[in-house]
Amino acid sequence: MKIPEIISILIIASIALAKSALLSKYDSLAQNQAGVVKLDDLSYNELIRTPERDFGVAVVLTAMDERMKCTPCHKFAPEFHLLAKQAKGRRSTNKNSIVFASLDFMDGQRTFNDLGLNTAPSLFYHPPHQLNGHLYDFNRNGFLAERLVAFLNTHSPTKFAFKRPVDHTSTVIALVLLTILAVFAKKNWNTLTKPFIFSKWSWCMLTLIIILTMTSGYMWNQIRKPPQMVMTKNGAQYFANGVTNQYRAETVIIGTIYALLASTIVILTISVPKIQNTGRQRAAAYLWTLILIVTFSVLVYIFKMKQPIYPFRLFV
Amino acid sequence: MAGSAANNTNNTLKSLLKLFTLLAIAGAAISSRLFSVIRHESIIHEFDPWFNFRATKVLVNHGFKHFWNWYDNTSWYPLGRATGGTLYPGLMLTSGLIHNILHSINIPLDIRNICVLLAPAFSALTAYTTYLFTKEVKDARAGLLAAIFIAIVPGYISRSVAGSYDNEAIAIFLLMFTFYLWVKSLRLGSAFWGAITAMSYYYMVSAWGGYAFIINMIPLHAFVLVLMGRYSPRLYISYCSFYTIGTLASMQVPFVGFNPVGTADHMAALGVFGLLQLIAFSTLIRQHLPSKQQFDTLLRSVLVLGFVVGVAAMALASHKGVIAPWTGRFYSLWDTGYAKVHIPIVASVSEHQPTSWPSFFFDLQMLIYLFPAGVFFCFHRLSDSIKGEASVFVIIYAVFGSYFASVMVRLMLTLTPIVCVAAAVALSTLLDNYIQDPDVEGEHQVENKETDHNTQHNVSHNTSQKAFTPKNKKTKKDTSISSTREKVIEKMQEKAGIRAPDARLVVLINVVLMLIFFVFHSTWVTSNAYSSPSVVLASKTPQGETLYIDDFREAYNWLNQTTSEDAVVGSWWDYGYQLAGMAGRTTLVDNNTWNNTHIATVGKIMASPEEVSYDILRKHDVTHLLVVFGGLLGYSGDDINKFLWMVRISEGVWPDEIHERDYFTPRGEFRMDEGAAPAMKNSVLYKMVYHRFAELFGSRPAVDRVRQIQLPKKGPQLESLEEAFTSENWLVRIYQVKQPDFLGRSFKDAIAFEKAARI
Repeated sequence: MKIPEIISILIIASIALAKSALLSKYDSLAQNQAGVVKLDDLSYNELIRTPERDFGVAVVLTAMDERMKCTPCHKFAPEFHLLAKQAKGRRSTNKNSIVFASLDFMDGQRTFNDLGLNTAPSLFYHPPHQLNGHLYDFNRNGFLAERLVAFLNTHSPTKFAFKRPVDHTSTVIALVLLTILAVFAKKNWNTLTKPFIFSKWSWCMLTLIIILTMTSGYMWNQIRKPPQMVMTKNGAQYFANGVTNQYRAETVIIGTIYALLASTIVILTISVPKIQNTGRQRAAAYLWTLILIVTFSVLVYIFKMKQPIYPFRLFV
Repeated sequence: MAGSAANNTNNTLKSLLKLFTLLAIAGAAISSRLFSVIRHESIIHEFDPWFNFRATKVLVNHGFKHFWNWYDNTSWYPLGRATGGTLYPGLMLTSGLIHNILHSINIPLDIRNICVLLAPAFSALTAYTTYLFTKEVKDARAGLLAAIFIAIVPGYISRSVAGSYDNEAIAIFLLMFTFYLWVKSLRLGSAFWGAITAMSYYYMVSAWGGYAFIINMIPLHAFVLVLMGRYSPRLYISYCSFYTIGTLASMQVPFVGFNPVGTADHMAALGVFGLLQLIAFSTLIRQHLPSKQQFDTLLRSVLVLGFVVGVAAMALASHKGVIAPWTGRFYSLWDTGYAKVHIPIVASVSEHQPTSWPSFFFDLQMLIYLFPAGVFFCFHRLSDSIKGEASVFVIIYAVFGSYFASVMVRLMLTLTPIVCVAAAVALSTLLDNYIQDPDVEGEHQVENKETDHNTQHNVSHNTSQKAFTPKNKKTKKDTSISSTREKVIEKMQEKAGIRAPDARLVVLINVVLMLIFFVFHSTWVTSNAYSSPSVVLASKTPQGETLYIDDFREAYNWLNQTTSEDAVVGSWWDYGYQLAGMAGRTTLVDNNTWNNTHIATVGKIMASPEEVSYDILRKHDVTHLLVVFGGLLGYSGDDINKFLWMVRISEGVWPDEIHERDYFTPRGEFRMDEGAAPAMKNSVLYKMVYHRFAELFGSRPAVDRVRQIQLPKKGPQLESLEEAFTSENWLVRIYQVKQPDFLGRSFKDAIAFEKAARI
């Protein structure tokens, strides 16, 4: 009467044993490899394509080899390892967990072919018992571990929190520097600090620097993170095409041009009238006017380069 | 006696000339904003203005009371919107008032024309206010230059062309007017002018959400003045009268309500108010004490302590929730990544993007480099005991204005006035040195002149000294050769100035040419970039003829004429205001965007397959769906290009049902052609947009001109929707939502049956 039950229990137990064997195998592998199991074609098949697998797998298909020149792969790897390390600490408490694995293109070309992948890195999360994984969208989410955790939490039955280890070195360095600066300022209070704080010209410099960086598009760079410049066949390209785009180098150039133009105005207004020799004064007035015209022409030229429909140009 | 008479006529002439210049500037300001009216017609532009126009019509037709309590049940169907309490009424009240005044003196001007021309009219006032403000900073000469700049600068024209009937149209005038009154009341130390400032601030609060800029700028100015040791009873009187009256007044605007005492945006003003009381009290005590030294130490420590305690109390209060934290939109100015993560609907709007340098140059041209120079001269002018305070204001405004403008394109508008002021200060200082005679140019003399406010007096001063000029210079030159020591002394006494007339001429000609170039630039930008009504599109045929594309109005008119009055039209929120304004039909969502869930519902309708959408459509009583499609015309601002935002916003509300990932191909491409992702091909938006599009091309392959792709020969099949109207250039397509099948069949079955029956 009870034989079928016993048999079924036995079967379940054996399956459970088998399962835990698979998990413990990859667990220990992960222990040895800093949290991330390094796979090849064979172990990939064993781990991912086993229907009995009762735990989730987050596998990143990457290309870390130098020859592949995969910058995003290298960018993402430390984040992935960071996450794997934290998850490993939690694994002992939660049996139903995630194994973090990676498959390098050099070890798993066949798998790359099977999946039809021609970009790396690609990250899949395979829920327990499922062969088809969810693809993580790097283009949209970027490389940060926080976004990956959010992705995993929406798809996996286990939820886990990620806490980025705070890098204290920069804070400590900043604090030390600040104290040094404070002590220095205090020691030289009368000779340096006080004149500096109470001089309007130091504040003037500060103000002008802020204004110039802001009007030359610094915040755009901070938010959009464009490249420094772009290398083309014809050498470095400093100026991006189109008015809604710019490179970092470009804003520096523009900021300098603005600064030059503004100081030309200031010099013409304040310094030139103070020159006592009439001849020299005349020369200075001509010279700075020329500088003003030429620099402004260059500015207009650059703008026209970026927006070809702009109809005006000056002398350049 | 004779001299003073000559002076009098001279002065009359000068003020007449000034008046005519200002009138000419006003004329330039107004006429440069009329491109769109001349090219197209007197029409309200874009999106938000349509709502303002509709609200104004409610005010004019139904009276103030009805407007104030207006509950609009035709928008945000079925929720409705308590419109009277959720808008800034200043704009509508202004044009309503103008309308009533004109009608009372029997000038029957149509309310539409008043609304269209309100922005240009106010820009003329802005120019005058900027003149007054700059006069407070430097003098009338700089003021006139600033007025010229603000009148034609593209950065301001962008929001004030005829037809752009938006809050900013009057808000920039109010901003500058409030600042001018503030600086003036500070100079005079007058409670009366402080109260006037508060009234102008009240007007501003009722007109634009950007009033938060004023209520942070003025306290900051006061605070910096205190830090600089420039506290004065004048500051106390003007600030306190402004703050108390202004805050009480601003709370009378229903939409603002108790915010001025309850949100972090306004706390800086309160803090400075408290600080000024402390300082005033202690200075009062100080005056009555015999020994001041110990008291000064005590005073300083009490002030520092009070400041620290105040800041800590505010931090605690905002932590405990007594003070509401910074609003999301305001907060995103400081933490630039905030909006993208937390409020995608804010991040999705193009005017909330950061500003690249070409946009600065495009909007300000040469002013952009005169601006830092002008700020530099403001530092130069700080030593002036009275007008220096206005310079401090300009400097603070410049710093914060340029930061805000660089974070958000839209805030270029708040930066523009101060750029004009600073640039005018720079240019007029330059001109002063190159136009006037050398001997009256010594810096100290200029500064002294600034302090007495009687410009007429200055003029007489100038003319009387002229006679002595040449001799004075000669004698000094002769003596200066003797010894180096004497030379140095001489140099300090010698007056700065430009002596060679040709050098002057070169600089002046250059300035004039630059100004002319600026006028050309501004005109070109205004005419090409900022004068399109966006309701009517203009394009050029290869032969050079202008072609007007009037599809939007065609479609709205069709809705207005053919559908029943209670029809509910679903569309993406961009077209909500226009639908309500032009078609007069009920809408699900509009540009007010107050309810993210409702917007996400519309996003879900567009992004889901028909079966899912149909249920939602029926539940919301939607009778028609409207989509904008630019594929035939090459109009890139269409719904397909906005589709990802629809998906993203609805994914934010229904993360289980909508996945952005599904709309991309497995390779991560966003495609519309044969290889489009299944979710994309099944989405209602895709089907509506490309419905029967391929038939238009006959045997040739159908091409979407915006995305430059070929479409499949066999277009998508609609089941629960029925094409009702497509405009001339296919820009607007309207679909009717079918009634449920009368036999209770699914639409698929019904269609299949019909087909079979036909055979």
